[in-house]
Amino acid sequence: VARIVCLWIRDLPLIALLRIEPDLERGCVAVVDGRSPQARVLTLTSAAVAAGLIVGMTAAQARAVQADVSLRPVSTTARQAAVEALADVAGTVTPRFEVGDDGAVFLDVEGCAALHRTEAALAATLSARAERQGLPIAVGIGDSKFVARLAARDAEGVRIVPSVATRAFLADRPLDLLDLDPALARTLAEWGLRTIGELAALPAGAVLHRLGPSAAPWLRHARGEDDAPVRCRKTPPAFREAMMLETGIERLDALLFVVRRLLDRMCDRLVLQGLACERLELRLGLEGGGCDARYLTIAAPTAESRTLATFVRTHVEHRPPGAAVIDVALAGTPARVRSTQLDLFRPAGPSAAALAATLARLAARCGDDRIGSPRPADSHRPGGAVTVPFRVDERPPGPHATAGARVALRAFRPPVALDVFVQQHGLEYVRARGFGGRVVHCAGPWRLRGEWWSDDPFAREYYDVELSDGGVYRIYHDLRARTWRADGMYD
Amino acid sequence: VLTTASTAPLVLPKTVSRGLAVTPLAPLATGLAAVDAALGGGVPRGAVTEVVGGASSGRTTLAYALVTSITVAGELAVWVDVPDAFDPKHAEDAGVDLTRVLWVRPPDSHAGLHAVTDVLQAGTFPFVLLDLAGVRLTSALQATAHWLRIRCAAIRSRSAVVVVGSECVAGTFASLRLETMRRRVVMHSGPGASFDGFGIAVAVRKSKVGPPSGRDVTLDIASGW
Repeated sequence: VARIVCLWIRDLPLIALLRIEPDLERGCVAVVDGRSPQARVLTLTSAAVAAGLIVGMTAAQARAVQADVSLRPVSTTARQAAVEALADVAGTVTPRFEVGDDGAVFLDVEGCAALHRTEAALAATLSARAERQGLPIAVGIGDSKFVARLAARDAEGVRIVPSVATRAFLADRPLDLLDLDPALARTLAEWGLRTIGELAALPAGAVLHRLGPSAAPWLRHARGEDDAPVRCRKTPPAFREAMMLETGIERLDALLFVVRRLLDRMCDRLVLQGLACERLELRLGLEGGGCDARYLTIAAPTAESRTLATFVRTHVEHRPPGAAVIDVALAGTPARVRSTQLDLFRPAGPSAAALAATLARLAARCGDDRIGSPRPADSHRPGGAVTVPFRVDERPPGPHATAGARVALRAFRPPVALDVFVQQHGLEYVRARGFGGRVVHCAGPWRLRGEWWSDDPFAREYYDVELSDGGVYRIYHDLRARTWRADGMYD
Repeated sequence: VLTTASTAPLVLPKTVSRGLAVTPLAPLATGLAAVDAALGGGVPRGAVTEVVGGASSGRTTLAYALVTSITVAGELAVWVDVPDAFDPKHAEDAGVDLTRVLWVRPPDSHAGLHAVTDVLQAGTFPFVLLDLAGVRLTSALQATAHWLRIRCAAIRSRSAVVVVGSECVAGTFASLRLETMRRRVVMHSGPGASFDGFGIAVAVRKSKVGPPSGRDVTLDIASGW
């Protein structure tokens, strides 16, 4: 017999809101189905109930009863994110789980018995993991999705319906719970049937003979024999989180505070699945109807919310939104962090996850184009440098020339403009911002021409000069621009 | 065999009781035999080393030699390049394995200090070099809090931190200070002239971890072309 677990969030619109803004739990808050005064109250915090508000009243009526009530419109994205977070919790126990239309999550736990001592222990584990995601849930366990769902809706915490007690559990339930076809419901009412138990007690063959084969599924539900399989789902392409704000945010630090909360929640979900974020989409809804969308590529996948928040801060500070922000939505593209293969004969490198987190943090601080592994530019023009993404080289170190040290060159980027005084016998004096002096020794020139096939060819005469200030510099005369530049110092 | 608890007081080694490094690690060799001999094997891990010198004094050459030695041994190095002066072509010619170097170019010295702290706190790299040569010294750059944080992070991660600069910035938080001085330039003037290299001296000005300070080493460095 299959055993199905149903995870159920009571007051889903409110829990989805409190998951992102836990501070509201103690406040007088009503979730309404829109932003207009006629919007209906869907759910309330306990403080709002205590203040006299009731579900179903309009926003205007709620304000009349309690002037300082916080009316928060229901957010489809936040609701979806809460359900996805619940699905992530289910995914930690079994890959066979399904998300229902009403936000309930069903797990097929057949075969998981060896991992958990009892069904109660399994339910406790799931409740604890959901609680860590900010989701108080009810757990129902039964032989079918229908029974498990009813058990979860009934339960304050956990309700387990043993196989032998399934029919007794269903017996006194009203027939309405079966979501019957209206015509069938009328027929059963004419027969005088009121409860599921009364329907289940009738002989199946005789009932189907009178009602036709279309009634078979409902009859099986009534007998607790639902054998519809749990439809597995794929990992979502993005982890989404969103928050609708009561008032527009104009200050950057307040916006980043909101973003950090969303990132915390998103990273909790990523960590739960052993994933990291490699790309972040940030959508800011602006007052007046605009939308500011940004796509941030993370230097290395990470699940550290602090790192991602620094990255977002750098980006938003660089290009602030054009108007006050009224809603924020995040979508993180997940990626697996590659595990590290250790080598017996070489020093252990950093773990892939730690390296990725470090690179992401550095990129957030310095800019993602300013970190990487250095390479000489593919050009004959001296001084060029590029960076490529840093990867730990798994190969053993190759033979390198280590015969002795070579004089190093410190590059000037960009090259420094010079005033050079030339006498008949050679260079006499060099002056630049920051250094200068009489030429003590001079070697050169060496002529370099190149890239004549491109839009930016170069033709230079290079000199190595030792100046009276103590420095030894590499300078050149640009034959095309007729200027002097220093592009490095020997050090 | 179980025995009753001893009444003698439990004495912990000092290093354990302080929660810091316990087993000394082998220093990182510079690849320059004379310098390594003067330093007792090389640059210490879990400590801050300063390499100080003026323009064209050989401080960057010493840094390249160190990074060459580390990367050729298969270890990873971070080069935090505040003045954006690292030249990959010359580094490659000097023998640096560029695939094992992470080049970080922070926008300013303040970000550079934070980048060093980030790397050390992650504990992912055994060697971090902070290049501050030619960078104007500010009070923020010399702030005690930064250097205390860097030193503590270096101890915890057991990474070697080398600061290359024109002047001392780490102050008391540096365990080793080397000063580089140029003795001569080997350059021939005139037609067909060439720059053939340096003669430099490396002096150990301060040493809390190795042989006592006061030693001078003289080296001849070829230009290599």
